[in-house]
Amino acid sequence: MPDFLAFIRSRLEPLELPRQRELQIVEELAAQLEDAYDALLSRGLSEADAWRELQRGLPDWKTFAAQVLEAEGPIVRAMQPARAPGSLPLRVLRAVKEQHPMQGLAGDLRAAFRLLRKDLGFSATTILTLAVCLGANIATFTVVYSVLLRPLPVPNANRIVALGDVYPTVTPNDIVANTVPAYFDRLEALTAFESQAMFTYWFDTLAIDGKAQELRGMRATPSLFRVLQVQPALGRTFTDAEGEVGSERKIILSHGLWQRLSGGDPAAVGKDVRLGWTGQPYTIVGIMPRGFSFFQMGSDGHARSEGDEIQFWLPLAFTAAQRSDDARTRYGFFHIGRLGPGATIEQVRAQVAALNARMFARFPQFRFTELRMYTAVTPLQEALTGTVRRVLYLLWAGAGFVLLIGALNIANLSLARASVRMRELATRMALGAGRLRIARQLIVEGLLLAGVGGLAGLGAGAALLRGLESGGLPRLPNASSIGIDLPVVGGAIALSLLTGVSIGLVTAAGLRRTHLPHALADGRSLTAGRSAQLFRRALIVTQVAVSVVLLIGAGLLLTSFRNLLSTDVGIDSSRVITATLFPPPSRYNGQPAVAALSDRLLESIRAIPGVQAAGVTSNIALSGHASPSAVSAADRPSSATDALVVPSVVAVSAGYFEAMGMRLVRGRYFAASDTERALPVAVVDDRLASRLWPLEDPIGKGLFRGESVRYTVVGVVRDVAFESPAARAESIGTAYFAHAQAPPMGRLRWIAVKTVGDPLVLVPMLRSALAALDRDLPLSDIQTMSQRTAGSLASQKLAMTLATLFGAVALLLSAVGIYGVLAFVVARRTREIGVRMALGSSARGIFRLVFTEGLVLVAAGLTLGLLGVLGVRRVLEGEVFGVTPTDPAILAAVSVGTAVVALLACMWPAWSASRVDPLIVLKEQ
Amino acid sequence: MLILAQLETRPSHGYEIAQSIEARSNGAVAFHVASLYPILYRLERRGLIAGRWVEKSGQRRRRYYSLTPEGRKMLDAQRRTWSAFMQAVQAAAGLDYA
Repeated sequence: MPDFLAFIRSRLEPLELPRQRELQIVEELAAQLEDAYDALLSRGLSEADAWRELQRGLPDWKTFAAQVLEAEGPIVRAMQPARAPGSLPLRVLRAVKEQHPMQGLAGDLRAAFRLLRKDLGFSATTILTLAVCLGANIATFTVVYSVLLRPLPVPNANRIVALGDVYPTVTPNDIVANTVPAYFDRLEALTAFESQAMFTYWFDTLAIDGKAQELRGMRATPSLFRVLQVQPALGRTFTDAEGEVGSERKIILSHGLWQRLSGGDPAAVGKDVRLGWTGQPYTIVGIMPRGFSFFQMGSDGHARSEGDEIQFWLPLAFTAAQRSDDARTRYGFFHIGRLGPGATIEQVRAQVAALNARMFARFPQFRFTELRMYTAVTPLQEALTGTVRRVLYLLWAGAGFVLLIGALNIANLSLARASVRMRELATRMALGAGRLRIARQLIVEGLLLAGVGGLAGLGAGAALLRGLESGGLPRLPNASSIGIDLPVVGGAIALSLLTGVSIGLVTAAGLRRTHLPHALADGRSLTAGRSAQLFRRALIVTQVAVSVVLLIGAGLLLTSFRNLLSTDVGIDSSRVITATLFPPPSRYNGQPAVAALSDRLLESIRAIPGVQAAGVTSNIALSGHASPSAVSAADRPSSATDALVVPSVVAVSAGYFEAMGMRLVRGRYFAASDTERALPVAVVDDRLASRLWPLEDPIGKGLFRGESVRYTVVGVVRDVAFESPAARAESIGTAYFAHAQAPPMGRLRWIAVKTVGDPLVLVPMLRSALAALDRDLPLSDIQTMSQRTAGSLASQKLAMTLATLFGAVALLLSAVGIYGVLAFVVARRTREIGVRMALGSSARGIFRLVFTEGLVLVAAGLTLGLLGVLGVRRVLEGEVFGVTPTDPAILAAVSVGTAVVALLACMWPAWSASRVDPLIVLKEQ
Repeated sequence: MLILAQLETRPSHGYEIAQSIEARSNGAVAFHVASLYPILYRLERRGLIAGRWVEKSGQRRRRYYSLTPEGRKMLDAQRRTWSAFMQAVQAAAGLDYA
């Protein structure tokens, strides 16, 4: 058969087309001639006849060339004047491609997909790494965003500011700390606000379907809805007149309560409902829109789950006594304001400071100056999340570190893979693909990987969030709103894209210094160069350093958590069941009535078999909040200033200390005989005792709490933690009063019952004991004391869980990274190792050679990491408990642990290097 | 239109296209290499057909052309125009078969 290719080449004059294209055209024509020739032969013609016949049908080559050129289009032809001999094909091809930057993207994507499917090991590793790293970041970002960043669901929420008096000697920032007289002063003085409001939480019972239900509500000045800028869905909000005593019997319902109460009947507005607290009818004036809930807060002082949602609002009206100057230390209200147009929070701070200075001068008897009282002014959202802000940002940074390690790993892997593909890439460059074009292909590959990894990461993030629900997540502020939503998905996509482009760019960067002929010859110049080697080693050192920092962080949080768990909180929480009750004034008017109910209830509880001790209290250990109130010592010889302190003040019944296992240091516990008519007595804890009477026996000393009644100290107990186990060390103590004699302390009461066996078994009996006394009084918030303890550590537990997880992932990824780099180095140096062995190196020597290389990298990373911990010591200080950020035991444990894992990762490559057979290697040459 | 119609049912290479046009039109229409390939290249450039190399064992690799979605649209449009034109011609020439 004639050689058609050669035949056509000899006839057809060179086309001014890219070389590749020209070759294709020639080949295609040759195929056609071959087919035609075959067809002629099969009709029975001889070879010579067929050849003659075929030539008759051949075109005029000149015309043909012109027509083909014309068909190939104007772009190529336009390039003709730029022709430089010899280099044209490449330049033309590039010009064509570069003129259409999007052209061929689909092809790139297909090619990328094929490649990644072919190299499953690489793809799977990368995607898995991305899924883990992005998952960690998505979950953390979701929590950070939902808790800290998502604006409260009211218009311009960032203009709302919270105020709260702080007594730095007593308790940290408390946004509930505002008084009524101060509110009225501030209404006048704080002109930077366009509106201000006060509110307080309110529990009440309401009969729904004939059954008394305990509901969470809020009492607020009518101005609250102006501050929040929300309109009711039906009816109206409160008028200013309804904020006055006598006309405050109005109620606004949440959408949910409206549905439950009347099935969403619009005619409900204007009707009356009877609230259990006062037993009086309240007129429904409005229904708030669906989803409006400002703002939920759990019993630990933090907004949290769905059930804590505010379901109704009542007008907050102040009595003359509440407004009087005597009430200047009666705290217990939230105070918020909305900044006026153009006003700043600094202006508010300045105005509050000026107002406070005037007040301090006017009321020296409250000793504000001595107590160093000041008013904190914070954006509302920050105030609500203050306790968890730092730890969440720290965790976010931790997740960022994990992503960094993962990205370094992927970069390393991509580099290794790029070197394997060097010959392919070099060939493509030789065929005329521009570097830009190759870079694009690499970036498309990176994006494809990151896209798949990102999707997997979303899944992993969602799974992690679900897992965290048992890890303390529901206890966080705004926990009910924690969920993956649009901004989170957007952030995840942005993060994936960024990672994808980075992967591509790292690989492409290696191409910059590629010497084409070398690469074509042995395909190795890309990443075997000195700078590339250095780069990979730097990546490893960084990885080890970052995981050391993460692991030390995790170790510190883990140790802190263990310390917190084992902290003596001053009570014995085993086999103690607790619950709350909230007797309404309509049926229990005044403190003595509440005490009488409690006493009757305790009596019947103590009669239950299996009950060891039972008592009630106005504030239970680990409730989450202190109950500070000023107290002064009567018989203290030193200066009057020192005699005034602000400890937690708690009313308890006889039996409470016993039920909680609070150890008696001196004197006696309260007894049933400490009644309303008996001598007023008090019990102090050892902290307060040593504060007030450091050198004397406190028994028999006198204590005043504002009023003129002198309480005689009859006992000293061990101090307990109210806010959290960690806060115990900062408290200045607690004063306990017998509940029948105590000054007013609100109506919420905790019952604590110490049992012989499983405390939860007693719950139905407790319920029926209360029901026998008051059928309409529900028992709420039933938890064992151990559950309360665990709950008070929720945010620490979350931090510890996440940090440990991140640390473990970081270590694993680093180990994989070290292994990958060393294995690659060994593969690269197989020839060298073979030669060394042929020249007499022992297997052990080779092992040492490779192992030492790994060792140096790990040691450098460890050193860097430990230095890094010293750098961030200050940040960690606030989050640890009972351990210093540079705890030698943790530093040592992490260093050794990291070293062991890292060196294990070095072992395998080193071992396989020592197994190189010099004969085989040398033969390959 | 003729070439597009050949590719409607299956991808073909240049020789097949030429053969099948010749066969379907009973030899009335024949394409020479000289005219076929420039047309194919032009159609490809306009995105109406797409060519790809196919290798079969023991044979020279060939470029198979197939119809792109645009090509299909173009074919339909051309068919409609042609049949309208043909009807008009038939009517005008008195070639009404009805």
